[in-house]
Amino acid sequence: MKGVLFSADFAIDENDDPRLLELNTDTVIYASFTSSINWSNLTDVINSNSDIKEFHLIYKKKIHDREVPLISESVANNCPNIETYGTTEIGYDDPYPTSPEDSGSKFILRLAFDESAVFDSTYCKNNVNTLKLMYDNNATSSITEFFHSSSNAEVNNLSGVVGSNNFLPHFIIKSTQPRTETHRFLSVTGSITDASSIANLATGSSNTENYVERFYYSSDQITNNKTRALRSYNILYGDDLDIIKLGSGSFDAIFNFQTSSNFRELPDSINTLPNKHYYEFTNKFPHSFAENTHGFLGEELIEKPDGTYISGSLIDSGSEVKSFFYSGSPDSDDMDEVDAWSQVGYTTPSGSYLRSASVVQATSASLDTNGINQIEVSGSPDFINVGIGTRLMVYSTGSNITKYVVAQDIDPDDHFIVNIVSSSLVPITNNYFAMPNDDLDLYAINVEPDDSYFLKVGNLPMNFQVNVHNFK
Amino acid sequence: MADIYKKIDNKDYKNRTLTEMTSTQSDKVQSIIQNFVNFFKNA
Repeated sequence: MKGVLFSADFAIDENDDPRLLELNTDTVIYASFTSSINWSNLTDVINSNSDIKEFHLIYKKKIHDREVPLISESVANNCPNIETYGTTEIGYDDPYPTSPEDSGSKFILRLAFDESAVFDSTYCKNNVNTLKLMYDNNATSSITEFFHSSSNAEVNNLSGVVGSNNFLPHFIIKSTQPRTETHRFLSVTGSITDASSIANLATGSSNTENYVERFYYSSDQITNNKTRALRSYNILYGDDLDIIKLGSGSFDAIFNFQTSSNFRELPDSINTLPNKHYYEFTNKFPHSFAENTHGFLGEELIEKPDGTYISGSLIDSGSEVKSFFYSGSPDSDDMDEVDAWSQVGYTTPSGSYLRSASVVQATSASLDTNGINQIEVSGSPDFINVGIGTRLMVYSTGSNITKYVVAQDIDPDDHFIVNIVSSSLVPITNNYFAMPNDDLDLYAINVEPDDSYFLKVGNLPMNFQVNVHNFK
Repeated sequence: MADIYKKIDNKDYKNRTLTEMTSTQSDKVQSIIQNFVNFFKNA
């Protein structure tokens, strides 16, 4: 028997009713949900079939690190008939996960996206297909109003009725392309009130590669100017496609929405609102494994072999930077290998040494809606501004190991920056998730042979740098 | 120095609290999911 775990995301409309937005496999169970997920609904199904003797989990380490031990523990503790427990780890970019052969004695639970499964490749991969299936079956009150026009689908059920809050958008434009979180938020100017005119402005803002969705909110669900959304986790399983409900809940946006700039007073008929509002208008969680999350802001300084610095925005391919041969660390740009590496303590191993490295690739890309981490270290008046997926070398006091950790996961209560030149530790005083005012670029370099380079932190008298790893 | 619009302690946003749905909302959510699956089976 096979099953697949998926999430369903909903907006809440003005009547407090849920409106389906999208379905996803390859889904993350947010930390706040883990205690409320009812795994017993899964184990009850397994126990109800005495023929099932084997449980197998197909997952991606980067996405499902939290779920795997929870599921394993629950099955181990509550399914006495299970004699064999197996796992298959899938690479993050692998669209065709391998799976053991199915049989009546197995329950194979897939957490990973599978291009060969229609549920995944047709509906989870393309929200328009999900919405259109509901639309075609007259379930329009259960989904967002939306518009899409392409060779794939022609749907327009935008009523042009919009919310009255002056500080929230009217519409969202979303990409139909998989793994593309790019959103554009639209607001119609206050002088245009006719619903059909409003709908026409919205439809005219899209193209064949995106769709327009009405922005919903419920006044009753807004607390301290934070919008709220709903998420539900379920498993679809068996030949009859039965549903196991795992858990659901509502959660706030990361930031409260601003109330100083009235979007209805903007000059154009329809206006695109700045990306800086992304985490006010959505309830998304920033993911360090997403595209364009690795690198640094252009103002960051990178150390050159002679000890001087160059701005991140100026460095280009062919440049030389200071690097460090760290004995024992993997000579690899495979992030799975880099993430798996660690060493006990923080003393730099003998045989390590400073040298120079060549920049073999220098790239920049819009930060878009990804945000940055601002890491503050003791004694520095400034922050290190890096993408949330940037790997910095830190020492964990809790585990007594040194390793590269993504900025998003750096914990000031546990981690110290490692000064690998002097084998010393520098306390991290704060780590913030931040949205810049402007749409900035994130710069990234690939250096060889040592795969790592140094960022300068403020004006520390110790001339301390942060060791940053390549990303490919 | 980066011009920051808003920021939040990294831990605070990672540990956003979950609010239970009302039973009415929860029922409606499950009903929509069930409807989708029914439509999917017939598609």
